[in-house]
Amino acid sequence: MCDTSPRQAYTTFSKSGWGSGPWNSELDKAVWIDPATGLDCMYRRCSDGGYLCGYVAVEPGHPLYGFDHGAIPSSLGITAHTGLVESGLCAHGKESEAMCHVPAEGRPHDVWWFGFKCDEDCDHLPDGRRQRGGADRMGIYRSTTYVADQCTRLAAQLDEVARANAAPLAISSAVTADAPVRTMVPA
Amino acid sequence: MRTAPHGVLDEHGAIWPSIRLAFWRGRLGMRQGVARESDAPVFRDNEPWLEEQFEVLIAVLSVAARGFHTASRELSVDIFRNSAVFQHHYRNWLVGAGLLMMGPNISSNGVLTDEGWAALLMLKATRPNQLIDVEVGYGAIELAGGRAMAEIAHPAIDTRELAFLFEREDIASQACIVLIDRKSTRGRMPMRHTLWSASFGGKHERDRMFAWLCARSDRWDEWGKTAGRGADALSQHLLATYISSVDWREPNGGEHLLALTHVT
Repeated sequence: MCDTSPRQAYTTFSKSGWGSGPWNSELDKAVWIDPATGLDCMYRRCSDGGYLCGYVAVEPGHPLYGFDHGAIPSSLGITAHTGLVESGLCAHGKESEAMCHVPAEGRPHDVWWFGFKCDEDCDHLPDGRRQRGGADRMGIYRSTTYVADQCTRLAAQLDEVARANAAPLAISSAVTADAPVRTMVPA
Repeated sequence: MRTAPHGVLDEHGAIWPSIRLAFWRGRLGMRQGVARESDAPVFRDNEPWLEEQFEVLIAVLSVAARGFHTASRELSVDIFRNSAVFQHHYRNWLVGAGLLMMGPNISSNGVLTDEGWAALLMLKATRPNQLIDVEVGYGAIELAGGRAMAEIAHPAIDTRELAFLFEREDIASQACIVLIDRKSTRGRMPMRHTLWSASFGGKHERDRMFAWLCARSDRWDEWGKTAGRGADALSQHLLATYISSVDWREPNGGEHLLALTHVT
């Protein structure tokens, strides 16, 4: 469980006909700053099933800024839920629904989001849609609590990459002083 | 040792194509190259791997020459790719070869023998053109070991004009190659959009793969478009291309990949 005290919160979906479930009392979009890493986090509900997507943003200068989600070196082990499936700058669209955020004062607009979706075969779609194969989805509904927790984990992984890159480099000038070679040559 | 019509004549009457090879093979008794024992010897001293070895030797001798202590850890990190074992072995080898002296009142870097001084001066005086202006040490070793990437790139391709560019990058201390889309239209400002990456066990392996890619720089734009369909698509394509580029009848360990850089 993490502190997701949202900076922006939206409830826009009409959930009539979805049946009873935790989604009825949940927000549909929230944006917050992860207290441990300072990274922007977000979840939003998607209209093609009512499931949630989670996102974490990195700022310019982060080693993975501008990386397509599929281009992240697998050896870094960065993942959330069943894997990252989205990446990009803030999307155009309705602020209450789109993958976008209003940055906090002093923070950059042009952050780069990495996201995951909870619409896999193992996930339940609250709007009652049928899964791709035709069978009713019987998976688990991934709540805002679950998605926020996954965001926290993803933020920690991304922060770790930044810290590893910022670690002091090895001294690289240990043997560049060659002047004595010229001055100490035996006669 | 003196000059001969076709090279350098050593004190044993052997003629070598260069003084560097006379020192490496004749004096130090090292192998000429990385080819198999059954191969006929090819006497060239401009093999990149050999240039790298010479740069390591110059660096270690220079440390001893400058006469003030340099921490063992510093040398290990800088020259020996973090291998203290290799560093200790190398230092002991130099002592055994008579180029370095160690002793109770001598810095752990050692001091040069007269022959060590002569070897250092000779090696510095005969550095290849592309290294003359490079400071002795890590940079020169990396450059020599990197096989002068620009030289093996496709001669008809100006990589500055390419929309997609492979670059070497260290991400979270891991040696990686990334593919950049330099003309990405995402966002309001031009930005580096990374479409693909691969990580390697070390810089050496990474650089060898990069050399293989550089030799095929005429294909980078096409490969960039492939990556546009997903990083996995390019990974599969590169794997297939690499496999098809290898002559498996003559697998020669890791050095085989180096040979590929000349087969475009």
